[in-house]
Order: sequence, then C-alpha cells, then structure tokens
Amino acid sequence: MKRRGWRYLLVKIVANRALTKKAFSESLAASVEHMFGHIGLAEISPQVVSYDQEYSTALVKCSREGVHKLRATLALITEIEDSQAAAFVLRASGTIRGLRRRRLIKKCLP
Amino acid sequence: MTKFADLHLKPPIGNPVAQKEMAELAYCLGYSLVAVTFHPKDRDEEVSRVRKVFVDAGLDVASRVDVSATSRNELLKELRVLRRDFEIVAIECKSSEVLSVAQRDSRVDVIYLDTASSRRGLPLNKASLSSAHLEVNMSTLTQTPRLPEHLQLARIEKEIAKAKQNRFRIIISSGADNPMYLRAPRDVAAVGMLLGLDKDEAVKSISSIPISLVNRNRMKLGSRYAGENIRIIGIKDEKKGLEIPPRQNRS
Repeated sequence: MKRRGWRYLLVKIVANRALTKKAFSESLAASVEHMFGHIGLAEISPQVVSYDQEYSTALVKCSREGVHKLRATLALITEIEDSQAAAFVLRASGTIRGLRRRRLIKKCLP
Repeated sequence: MTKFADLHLKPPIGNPVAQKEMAELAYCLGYSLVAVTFHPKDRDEEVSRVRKVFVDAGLDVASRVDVSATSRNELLKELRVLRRDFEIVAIECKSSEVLSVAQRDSRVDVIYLDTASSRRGLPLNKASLSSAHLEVNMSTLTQTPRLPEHLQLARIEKEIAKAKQNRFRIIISSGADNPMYLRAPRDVAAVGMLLGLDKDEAVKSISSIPISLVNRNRMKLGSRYAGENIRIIGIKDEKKGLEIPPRQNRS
C-alpha cells in the first residue's frame, strides 16, 4: 500500500485579538468543511501541529493532494471567532524541519 | 524565481499608516509589482506620496484608474481623458453595452465584472478582438459578498469558464483596500484553481500576465512608442544630425 504523503504549511495569522491553538484549529476545520464538506475535510485532513502565540504563526499539516484546497480555504478566511482575521501561507514544505529553517520570515510580517 | 504582481490595490489615500502597512505586507508576501488605484481627481502630490511609500517598501508601482461607466458615451469620454495619465485603465462592466465597447477598445487594459448584477452572465466576445484582460477580484469573495458565498463562487467560476472558452487572459487581483484583505500570491493562485483554472494558468494570472501588461503599457506611454511594433530610435535633423529622444517614465 502506498504511504500517504503530507505537506506542512507555515501560516501567519493576523487577527484583531489573540488566538489560541484550539480556536484556530476549530476555525480551520470549520472553514474546510464549509468549503468542501465532510469528504473534503477527510481528504485534506488539516491538523494544526503547533501554534506560536507570540508571533501568531501556526504549523499546519495536510495531505499532499489537498494542499491547494487548504491554501484556498486559508485565503478565504476573513473571520475567526467573530473577529476580523486573515491567514497567509508563508512557506510550504514536505518536512517540518524544512519549515523550521525558515522561521525568520515571520519577523517581517505585522 | 517567479515574480508576482497584484494589479488592484486600493490603499486609503488619506491614511499613510495603512498605506505603509499595506506596502510592507505586500512586499513580505512576495509581490514585486503592485498597481495602486487612484481617483482621477487625486492631487499630484498625494499620488507621488503614495507611490513613494510603495517604492520605499521595495515594490515596483504602477498607477491604475477604475472607470465605472454606465453607458457607451460615458466610457469613451472617460477613456479619452484618462488613458495617457494611468498605466492601467480598468473598466467595471455593469451592463452588456459597456462590456461590448470595452472589449473592442484597445485603450482598455482590464475589465472586471460585477458578478452580483450579472445573473445571466455578460457576453464576452472572442479575445482576438480585444486587448483587454479579464480580472477576478478576491475582494468579491472576501469583502462582505453581496451574494451567498456558494452563488458568488458559482458565478465567478462561470465567468472564468466563459473567458477561457473565448481565450481571454485572466488576471487575479486582491482588490484590497485594507491589509487584512491582502493574500499571499500562491494562496491567490490556489483560489484561482478552485475557480476552474489549472495550476499553470493560475500562477500565470498573478505573475507573467499582469507583469507583461504593465511592461507593454509602460512602453506605449513612453516617448519612443509610435505604434504597434514600431519604436522611435532617433530623429534625424539636417543641421543637428541624429537626435535620440530621452526615455520618459511617467509617474
């Protein structure tokens, strides 16, 4: 059986108030489900691996086939927990290590 | 490395802080060229100040004007007045009359459709008759959509399918008037894929297509342009000999 491939995205979240990992994770799952339904959610399988509250960045894991759908969903997010928010994918990689090398990027964003 | 462009930014003219924030964010997200929308009545000092903010952030800036005409005559009048003052002239098509003129007029660079008003879809001709590009604005999806999201998506998808069928060049822009509505270029491309473009077309719609449009217009607005594929390389004077006109970059 072919092993399932994953992609990891470094996502910057800009919101009017501080968010927790749980809030972002729930909002992300709800947005994916809203856009693509249950089957899409299962296919994309988004998971927030870690969330850095200081810099508001999240490391999100998803299936390799679903990466474009997840990016589109993130681009269409405008609200998290009833406050205005935006999410930007800073970097995508096939490994978590690949993303951690690029952590400098977050410092130039608001 | 791919260069990305966003041809529709609407920073608030009277708010330098928001302009700076928008410029820095656009640069950090990976854009190298942005088109800033100005109003024809904006004063020159304001225009150059806004341009400076974006140039200081490390971006190449093109000036853009949005024309929202309701009739053929109004559109032609606006084009006569505005064409030489802006690098990008975009037309918001609210009726099929305006769309039909905009498609045929070579002075029009970009047309974008008011998807909320075009229930049956607007008639796009074959792109060979037109020099215009069809623009899809992310703001129609993110900024308080006037229709339910699924209807809005379906309409845009339909317009894109029609544009592809008629071989229109498609541009995807943010249409952002606030930093919160800017998005990373590859995320915008992913939305384009969701709307029916393939991966290659989606990436081109935010990179090579808008960049070549701006370059073409800059060449046309320069002093050496004489017509399609004709450039003035010098003017020969009997007494002075060959004189090379200086390059002019409009600001």
